[in-house]
Amino acid sequence: MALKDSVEIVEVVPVEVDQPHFLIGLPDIGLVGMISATHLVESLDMKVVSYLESDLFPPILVLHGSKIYHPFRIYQKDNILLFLSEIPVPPLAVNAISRAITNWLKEKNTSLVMPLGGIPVPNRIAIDEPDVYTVATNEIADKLVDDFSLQRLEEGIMAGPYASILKDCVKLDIPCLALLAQSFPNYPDPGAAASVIKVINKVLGTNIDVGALLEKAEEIRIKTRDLMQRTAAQLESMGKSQEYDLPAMYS
Amino acid sequence: MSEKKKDLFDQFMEYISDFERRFDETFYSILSSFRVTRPSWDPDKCCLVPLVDIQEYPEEIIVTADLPYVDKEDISINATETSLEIDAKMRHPVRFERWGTVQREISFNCYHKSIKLPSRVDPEKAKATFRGGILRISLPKKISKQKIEID
Repeated sequence: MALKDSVEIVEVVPVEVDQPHFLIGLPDIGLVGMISATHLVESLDMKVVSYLESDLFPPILVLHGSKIYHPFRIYQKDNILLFLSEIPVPPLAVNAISRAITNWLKEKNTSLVMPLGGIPVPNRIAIDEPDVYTVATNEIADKLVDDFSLQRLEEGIMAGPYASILKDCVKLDIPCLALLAQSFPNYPDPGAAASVIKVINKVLGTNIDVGALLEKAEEIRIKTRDLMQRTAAQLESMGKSQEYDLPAMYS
Repeated sequence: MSEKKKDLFDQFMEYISDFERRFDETFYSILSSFRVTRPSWDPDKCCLVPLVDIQEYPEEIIVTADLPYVDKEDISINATETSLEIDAKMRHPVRFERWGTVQREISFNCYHKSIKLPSRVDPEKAKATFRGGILRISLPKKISKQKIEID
């Protein structure tokens, strides 16, 4: 009798959507993904359509307006799906989550996956408007980089949940374009989240107001402090500090 | 041992080994989360503990602190050779409502953090800047260097 190590995606309502765009906002560097995802949910008035379930997850639920929510859940608005988490991803569950999500996305014939996150930069304090770098998994996603004049991340190491998701998207040939903004490593960074949302507006043709996000920046930084602290500890256990390393291979 | 018994034995050992690995991973994951489970707030003093980052370099220690809702003139920094204390008053109190079971509303109006430094520093040569809500303090180390000749 083996331990149950699978992750299931439970659809609260049937998710019937044609070639959706799938955004991912997980607690990561600077909480960039989670902050931008939360802002997208509020701005687009997205609704919960699924949640993730697994024995690998800690026994945690969240309460909002007295209603119970699973911490890992998927929202929808028209043909945009968004996966966010309010708790750090347990290291033990990273690969299982990635497999479950990417297999589900393949079934839904997803047109584009966009993980949203940050790249740690030591001089972030001197950067007024963070740049956004991209990582593409195939030619379809890579074409978007040129179409929208985006910047590529050319060399480096990625660690954590997004590294796993990108690898699985390559394996399943799902177009995936990660958006990574220059960010504080260990402080919540709404400024970096705003930069990511500007790129989303370009690529998806949405019109999400980043001004509203920047006005709430100080409030967001206060309210996400504890999550940032826990996330930083979890990321360290996943080898996140290797993103600061120079890649070993050279050409 | 018969072949059938050997297969069952191998499966059993594989299960035990898998269980041990998962137990270790879960145990260390739980341990690491305990490192940050003490509250980052003090309701009696209405104070929050700011997020702080400490980087040690050969010649200096850099401490940064995230201080939203604070103006530069409301920050107080005190340092000794081995410790650093940061106090800051918020522009206006921050209130958390409909939260928790004991305190449904709580507000904070300041930050406080005491830090034990990893090496001795010279507080008189310290420098601090405050930009975008991030306080950055540079603390030169007290180092007595001696040149060593190579034969």
